[in-house]
Amino acid sequence: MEAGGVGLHSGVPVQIRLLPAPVSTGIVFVRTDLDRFEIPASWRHVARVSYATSLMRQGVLISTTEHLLSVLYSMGIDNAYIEIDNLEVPILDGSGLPFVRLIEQAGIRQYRRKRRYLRIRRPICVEDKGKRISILPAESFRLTCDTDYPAPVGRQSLELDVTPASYAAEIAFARTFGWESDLDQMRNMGLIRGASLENAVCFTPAGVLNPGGLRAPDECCRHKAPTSSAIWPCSAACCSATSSPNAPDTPCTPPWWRASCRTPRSTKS
Amino acid sequence: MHAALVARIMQDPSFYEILTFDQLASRVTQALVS
Repeated sequence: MEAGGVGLHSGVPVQIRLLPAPVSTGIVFVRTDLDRFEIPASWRHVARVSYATSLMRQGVLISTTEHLLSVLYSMGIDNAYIEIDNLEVPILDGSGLPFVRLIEQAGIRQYRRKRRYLRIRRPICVEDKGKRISILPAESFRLTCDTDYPAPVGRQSLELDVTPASYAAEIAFARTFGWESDLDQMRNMGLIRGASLENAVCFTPAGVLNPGGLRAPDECCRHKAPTSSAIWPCSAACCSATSSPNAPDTPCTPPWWRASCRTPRSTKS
Repeated sequence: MHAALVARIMQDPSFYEILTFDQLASRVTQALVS
């Protein structure tokens, strides 16, 4: 499958192409503009997670990977090459839904080789400036997200058993978002050069600037749940478990866990 | 922050275990029976 657009933060034009990969490959980005340099989607390569989740290997960057990786993990895709001709994944409409639709059209091949799975054995929690992410042992993958943003967003909550179907229906459509009052500051930081009302929701104290409004009343929480919680990073963890001394020699999937995240009142998303 | 969370997990093997498909199926069966 192929897609093209601009990078949310860089504003650069970019094309990506998803290709099948052999068993045990994991998710691997391939910079076609840099002699096909490969960057595995591994937690070991996470470079910067402020406003975007970036991967870097030997100084080569892939930025804003969180939407696409969240989609791949949630749709059960363990192996794929992602060819990309620039440094940032295209933002498309600001959500993961275009990726979901394109993958559905392309189809998913199941390999005969059985998966390995990563099971969380005891609770883990990280807190920072009022934000908290926890992963708890569970019998299924259940996601809980609580957010509290300034008006007009306010408090929102989401609790969901994550499956490919529930992700596609309940999560994928939710777009990235920000506040009009933050735009100048973010642009001065070299961010959101590719942002527009076509690929992001923009709030003012009075409401939403986007002509079409919100796709759901709690769109912000639905967007933050998979990208700021643990869906993609744990996927990346499993892919990179291959290089851990006690880990298997193939990528694996985390089936049993419950992830929760809480975001405090701030316009910084 | 989520990257820090995953780094903590992956750097301490006591936080997780790796199961084969057969081991997972066995655990699910046991959970359903009990």
